[in-house]
Amino acid sequence: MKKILLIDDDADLVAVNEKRLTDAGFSVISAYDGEKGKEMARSEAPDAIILDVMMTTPDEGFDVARSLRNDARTKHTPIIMLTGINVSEFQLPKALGDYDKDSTWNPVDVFLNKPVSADTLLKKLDEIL
Amino acid sequence: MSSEPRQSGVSYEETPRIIVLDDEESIRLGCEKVLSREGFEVDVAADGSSGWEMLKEGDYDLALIDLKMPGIDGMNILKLLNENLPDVVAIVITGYASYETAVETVKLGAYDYIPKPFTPDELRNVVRRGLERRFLRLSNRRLREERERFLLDLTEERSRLLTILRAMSDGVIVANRRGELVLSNPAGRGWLRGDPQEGEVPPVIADVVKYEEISQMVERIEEDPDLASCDAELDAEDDRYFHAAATAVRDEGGAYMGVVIVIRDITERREIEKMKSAFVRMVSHELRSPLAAVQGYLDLLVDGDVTEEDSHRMLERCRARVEALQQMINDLLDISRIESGVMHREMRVQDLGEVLEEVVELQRGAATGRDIDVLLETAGCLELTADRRELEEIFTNLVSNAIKYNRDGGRVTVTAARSEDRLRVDVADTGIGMKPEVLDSVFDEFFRVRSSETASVTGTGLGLAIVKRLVDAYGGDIDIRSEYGEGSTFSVELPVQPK
Repeated sequence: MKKILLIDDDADLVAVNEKRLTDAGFSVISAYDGEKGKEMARSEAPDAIILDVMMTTPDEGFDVARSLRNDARTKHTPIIMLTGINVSEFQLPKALGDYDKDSTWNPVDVFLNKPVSADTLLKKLDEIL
Repeated sequence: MSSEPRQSGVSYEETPRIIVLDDEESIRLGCEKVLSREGFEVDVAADGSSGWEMLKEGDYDLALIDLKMPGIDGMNILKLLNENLPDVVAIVITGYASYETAVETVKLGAYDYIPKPFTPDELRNVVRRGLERRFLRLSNRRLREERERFLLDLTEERSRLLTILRAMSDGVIVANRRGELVLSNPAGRGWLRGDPQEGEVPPVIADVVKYEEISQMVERIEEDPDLASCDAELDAEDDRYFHAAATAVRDEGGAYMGVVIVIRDITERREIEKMKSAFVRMVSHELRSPLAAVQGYLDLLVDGDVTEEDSHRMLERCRARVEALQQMINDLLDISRIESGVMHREMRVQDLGEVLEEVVELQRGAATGRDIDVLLETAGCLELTADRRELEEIFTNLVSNAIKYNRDGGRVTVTAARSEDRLRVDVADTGIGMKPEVLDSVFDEFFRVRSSETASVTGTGLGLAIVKRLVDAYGGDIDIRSEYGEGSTFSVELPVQPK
């Protein structure tokens, strides 16, 4: 059974996605802030991470993603980033700017704009797993 | 002969006024008769002294003056006229016309002379010429005065223009058709290298201007006869933004005369734009999250197999999130109203103790559910002048936060007391507290403590932003002390009598 880590500060969105993913046959663990999320990513070795972009700060999600990428234990764990804003317009250029020197990889594998339907989420998970 | 005045062929704006100074009665009567028929106003004087008095007061155009008179004689009248009333045309009447006398009288300012005895026609001719002279003098003087006034206006206009230019905060730079700098104000000179002094050969603007964008605009204007104006944005040092507009100046025939460049600081506008888009970004995020939650729950309820218990819980959460959205819209409208100053306020004397009692009572339900104790301690007279609804809003937000961000079984203590001309209310909780680095952002719109402990706390992130704005509007102060993991205390001070 594949294990998915949900990191989102909105308890309802976590509950919704937990239910969707459990129903689809995943094992789900969740964290409500970036710090806990990083901790669990390292200790629980999930198969994929679903990460919210805006938590304590508007781009905490990116900080979490960068930190996970720089850690050998989580370096290759696929990350789906959920955003409440239009990423291409606002966050992505700024967030990716730091990585221009080494553009062979992105901190995040997939961006999905909220709200995300169950179908889309499951399809994307299938693709990256 | 008709008694009607003869048409002289010359029309005067006003009836010419003539005075005759002669001690010979027949001359006075004769002149009066002939000249009255011409349509002139005629006065007479029999001696120099009374004649001079009349001249001073009478506003005459022309004087016929006999040289030999009792009192002041003709020569002296001429002198007086020359000194005091130079525009009055003087014609000398003389019984012994000689070349010498003529020269002397003309030297003294006489315009002409007429020897006795003379015919009515001779009189008419000499007077007419004299009057022509008079009106020529007057119109010359009018022209001269007008020209002087015009020159004065021009000088004033120029200094006024320079004063305005100097006082402008916008930079102004003017170049002529050869691209040479011909005028700049102090704000404009900030954009030029060196200090082009007046009197020196004017430098070509492209050589002295600090920013390429400006010389490029001048170039574009110079090269394109159809281009009326163009603009550019200049990114100056220290994060300031400027907008430069170049406008072509052409003469009536459309020939290029030069270019006027106006440079304006638009940093403030840029900052407002940035704030606006940040705000829109925040609002869209804050709207999308609850909507995503509600949509997610509804999808599950419609499609999924959920237990009776789960479905009830999900519907409860949907309702809570929708209510929070509703609250957010109200809060946003409140903020907008406070900021634009169009609040309907009813300022009355209020008992703050009573307001706090009501607020605490209404919040007690939420507190009891989580076994949180809410204590209210008031002391002394707590009267102040304020709008009751606003007071309720301030303290409901604070007490509700103290409960929301508390731990189960915790405590909220509200204390109120008067100190001098202010009332101080402390709302202390035993909740999760805040880290020092977030304290500066607490009153920002949409700021919320987001952590595992608060993941299921609903809120708009606007409550404290509203509290802060309201307290500011009363000239009060709000202050936070917080210990991470231990709790927070919000202190509000409101003046008893707001300004």
